[in-house]
Amino acid sequence: MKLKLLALALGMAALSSLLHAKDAKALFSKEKSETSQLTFFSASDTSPITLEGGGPFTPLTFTQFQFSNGKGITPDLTGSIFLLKPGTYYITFSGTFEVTQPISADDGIGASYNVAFQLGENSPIFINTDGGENSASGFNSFNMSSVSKVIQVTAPTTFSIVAQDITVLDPNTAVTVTTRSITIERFE
Amino acid sequence: MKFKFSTFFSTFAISLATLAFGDVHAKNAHAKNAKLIAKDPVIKSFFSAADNAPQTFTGPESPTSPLPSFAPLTFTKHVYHRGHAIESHKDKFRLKKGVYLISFAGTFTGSITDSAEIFDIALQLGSDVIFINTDSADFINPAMSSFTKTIRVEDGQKDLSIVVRTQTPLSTVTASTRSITIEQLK
Repeated sequence: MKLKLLALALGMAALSSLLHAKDAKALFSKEKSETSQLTFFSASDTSPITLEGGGPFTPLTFTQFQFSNGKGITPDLTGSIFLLKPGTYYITFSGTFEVTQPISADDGIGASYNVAFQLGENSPIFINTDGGENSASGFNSFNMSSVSKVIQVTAPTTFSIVAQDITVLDPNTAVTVTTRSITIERFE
Repeated sequence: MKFKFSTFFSTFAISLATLAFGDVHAKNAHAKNAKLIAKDPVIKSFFSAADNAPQTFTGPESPTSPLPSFAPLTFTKHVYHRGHAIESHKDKFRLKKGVYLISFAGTFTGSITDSAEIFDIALQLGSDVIFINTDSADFINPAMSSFTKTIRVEDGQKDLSIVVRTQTPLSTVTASTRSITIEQLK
């Protein structure tokens, strides 16, 4: 009887090891499956976009080096509007902004600008502000501005990165956006 | 119950074999899966590091001189590394075929007080300098410059660096605190 019990106990231990191995395999398969489904879109652009003082929010374009994986993020033909399926997305953006007007201290000190997210027809959200000085001042006429944010979309929605020159003291200002990139990563 | 040595021995041997087989099988499954993960390009790799050793970038010798070459930033501290797609070599990162999200942030200070130095930050992938961004900083107002960019390595492997050059003649820009994160997306 003792021998049978011993054999049974050892057998159970061996079975437990086998199940543990299967669990490990299932866990690895699950991890692999989750990472295989990673959906993202990325693009950049260098064509200058000039934002004039007091103007409206303008969508920034991303037409170069577009590449994507998975479904759920679809750019339009202009490369400035992205159709997002319901889900959670991690958005990262960065770009170079140069104060191109005023060019002299006589015309003004500099310019301020907003960078924001626009979802659908709603007012822009996550409005960040940066600024620079006129190029003749010798001070900071160039800025590298970056933003990152997670957004949640509950129904199919369009998404854009928008920017505007908000300088109020001197409307004859301009900010030019040159090198820029966007990456949209879908979490779930 | 009579004790039979042969019965005990055979039961013990069978149980031991079952146990040993199960254990070996489990270990093999672990090793096999670890090997699969190591080889599978779909499994994400990442690399992260920082540095604060000052690096100074000198601008052109005169307003008519050509712009200096781009030089790489180093990232030698607080290194976190997972996976096999990214190899670190101080100021170069060897990337295997795949898609990578690059994030960089750093502080740059100019050398003069009465004007700002203009400098470029870019990515060097192999011999190509891409995604050239421009920022400006002076001695009083340093710039915290950051960017994110997704890149694709299509064939074989390529070396990636974050590179900097100063545009403003007769001046320098110094990089201090900085960090890089490279995340494999695909």
